[in-house]
Amino acid sequence: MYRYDEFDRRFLEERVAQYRDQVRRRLAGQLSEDEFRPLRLMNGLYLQLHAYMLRIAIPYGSLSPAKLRVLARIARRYDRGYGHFTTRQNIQFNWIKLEETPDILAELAAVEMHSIQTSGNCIRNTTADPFAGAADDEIEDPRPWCEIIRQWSTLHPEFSFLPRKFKIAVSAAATDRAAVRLHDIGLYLRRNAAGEVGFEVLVGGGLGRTPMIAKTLRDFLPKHRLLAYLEAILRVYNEFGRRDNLYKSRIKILVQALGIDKMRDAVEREFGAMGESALPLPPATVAAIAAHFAPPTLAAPGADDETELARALAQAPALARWVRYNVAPHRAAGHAIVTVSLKPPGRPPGDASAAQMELLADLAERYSQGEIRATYEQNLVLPHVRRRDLPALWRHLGEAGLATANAGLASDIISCPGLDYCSLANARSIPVAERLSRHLAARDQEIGELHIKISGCINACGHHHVGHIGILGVDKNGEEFYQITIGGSADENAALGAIVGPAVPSAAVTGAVDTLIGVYLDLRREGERFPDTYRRIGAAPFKEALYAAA
Amino acid sequence: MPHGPIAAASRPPMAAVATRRTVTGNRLRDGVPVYFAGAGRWSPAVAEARHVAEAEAGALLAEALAGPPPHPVIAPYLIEAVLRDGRLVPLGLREEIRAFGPTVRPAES
Repeated sequence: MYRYDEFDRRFLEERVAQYRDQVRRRLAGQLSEDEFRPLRLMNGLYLQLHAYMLRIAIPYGSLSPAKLRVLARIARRYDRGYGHFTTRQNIQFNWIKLEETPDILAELAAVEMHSIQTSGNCIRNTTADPFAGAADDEIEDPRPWCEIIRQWSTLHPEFSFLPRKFKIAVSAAATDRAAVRLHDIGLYLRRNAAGEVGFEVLVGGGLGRTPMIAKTLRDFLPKHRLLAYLEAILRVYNEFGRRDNLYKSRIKILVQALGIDKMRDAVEREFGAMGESALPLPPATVAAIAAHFAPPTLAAPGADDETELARALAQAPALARWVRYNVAPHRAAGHAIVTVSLKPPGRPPGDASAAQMELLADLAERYSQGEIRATYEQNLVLPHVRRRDLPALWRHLGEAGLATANAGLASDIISCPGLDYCSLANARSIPVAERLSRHLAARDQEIGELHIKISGCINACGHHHVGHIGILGVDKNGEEFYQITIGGSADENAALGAIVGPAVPSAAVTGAVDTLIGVYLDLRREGERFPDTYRRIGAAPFKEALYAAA
Repeated sequence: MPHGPIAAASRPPMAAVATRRTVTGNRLRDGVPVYFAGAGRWSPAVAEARHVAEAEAGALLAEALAGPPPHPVIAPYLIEAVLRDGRLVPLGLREEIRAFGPTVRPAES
C-alpha cells in the first residue's frame, strides 16, 4: 500500500489546520453559509436531511487495518456506530457534527486518509478492481497506475473547477469488476500484439440523468504517456464541456455532441501539441510507486491444505455455500480472494458497524496480509487468504454477521442511501432493498447470479441503469413509485437497462421483481444469467408477465 | 401501505385538515433538523414548532430569520404541516422523514 512521504503528511496537516480555522470562523459567524459551503464541500462535508454527511476517500478501494480501525473509531466516537460503504469505494458517515469535523479530519490524516475531492467539480477518487494484485485474470496490478493518477489529480490546479465532477476507473483483468465503461474515463490495461502492456482508453461513460456507455478513444496507449493523455482529455473537456447547463455538463455529453471521432481528433491534437516530453513517467518513478504495491510473500500451500478444506466443506454445507459464492480464485496457488458481504438479508446494503470494521481489521492482519478492499458493489474484500484458513475465517465472520453467502446473487443488492438520508433523493431506496433481500435470500441459489440495483433519484448513485434488474425511485404527486429496468450490466459487456413499463407503487416492487425473476427462471437455458436470457428473448415476455394483469 | 410506517401513521385525510405553516432548517453546529419555536428558540422536536396560518407565514419566517450572525440555523424555510389529533405533522414524505426518520435501522453498533 502506498505510504505518504513527508510532503504528503505536512500538506494534510496544513489542510486540517486551514479547515479547522474555516469551521471556527463559520461557527463564529465570520463566514456565511454561502461562503463556507464550497469550503466544506472541498473537504467532503455535505448537509443531508438529518445531519452533516462526511464522505471519506478510500483511494482505489484499498484499506489497511490501521485505516479501517480509524474508520471504526470515527463511527463509534463521532457517528452512531456505523458507516456506509458507497458505490465509489468510499465510506460515508451520516450523523456528523460540523463542530467535530476538524478533529475527524485530523484523525484521518494520522492514517494518511482525507476527504479531499470527494465532492465538487474535480477529479474524484479513482476506482479500481477490488481484486487488484490478487486476481488470477489480470495482466498486472493496476494500483500503481491508480496511485499515479491520484497524485497527478489531487489538487491539480488546472482541473479543480471542471464543468462537472470527473470519475476515472482502472482495471487490468479480463473480468471487469470496476464498472470501467461507466466512467468519464475508463482505463483497461491491455497487452498488444507485440506483447507490450498499455492502456485502452475509454471516454464518456456515466450514469445519472443521461446514462451512456464509454467509447474507446485509444486502443493502445503506451503506459509512460498515461498522464499526458489524461491531461489532453481533461483539457479538451475543460475547454469545450458545457458550463451553462448542469444537466449537460459531463464529458459524456461533449462526446455525444462531438461524436467519438471528433473527440478523438481534439484529444490527439492536444496530446500532440504537448510533445513527447510532457508529463513524463520515467521507469524509475513508476518502479518507485509500484514498489509500494509489491505482492505479499505468500506461503506455499501445504500438502494437506485442500484435503482439510474439502473435509470442512463436506461437514458444513453453509461453509460450502459461502465458499462457492464468496470465494474467488487467487493467482497464487493455495490462496483465495474472499468477498465479505455487507448485505445480510433485510438490512441496509453497505453498512458496517464499528465492531464489524474492527473485527475485519483484525481478520485482515491474521488472514489476509493486512489488506482490505472496498468494492463498488458495497462489499469488502480480503484479497490474500490462504485456502486452508477459509473455514476459520468463515467462523469468525459469521460470529459478527459477516458471513452472508450471497456475493453476486439476488440479495447482494446495490442501493444508494435514498430519501432516508439524502437531500437529493425523491424516494427511499434502503427499505426497498431490505424488503427485496429478505424476500429473495432463500432463493439466492436457485436464481443464481443476479444484480439488482436501486437508486432513489435520477442521479443514479445506486447504478440502477446497469442492474440486471434496475429500480429507480420517482415521486409521483407526493407518492413513491419505482420505475423498473431490465437487461443492464456493469461488466465488460456493459449495457443500459430498458424500462419495462409504467412505474409501480412501493408495495408492488417486490412482487414485480418476483415476476421478472419468474420469467427468467421459466425461460432460461442452461448456464444463462438473467441478462443472457434477456438478450436472447427480448423484453416482451417480461413486459407481458408484469403488466398482463393490469 | 405504500410508504411504510411513517407516512401511513402521519398522512391525514387532506380535505379534513387545514394546512399550517412552520419554519424549519438544519442546525448549524450539527446539522440536526430543527423547528422555530418562537422567541428566538429552535427545537429538534416538531411538536414544539410554532405554526401559523398561511397569511401569517411571511411574518413567521421573518421572525425566524432575525438576529445577528451567526444564525444558529442554516437557511431556514417555510414548510406545510397539519395538525392531526393535536400533533403537528409536516406534509410531504421528505419533511416527514426529516422530522421522524430515517425509516430504516442502521447496522448494529
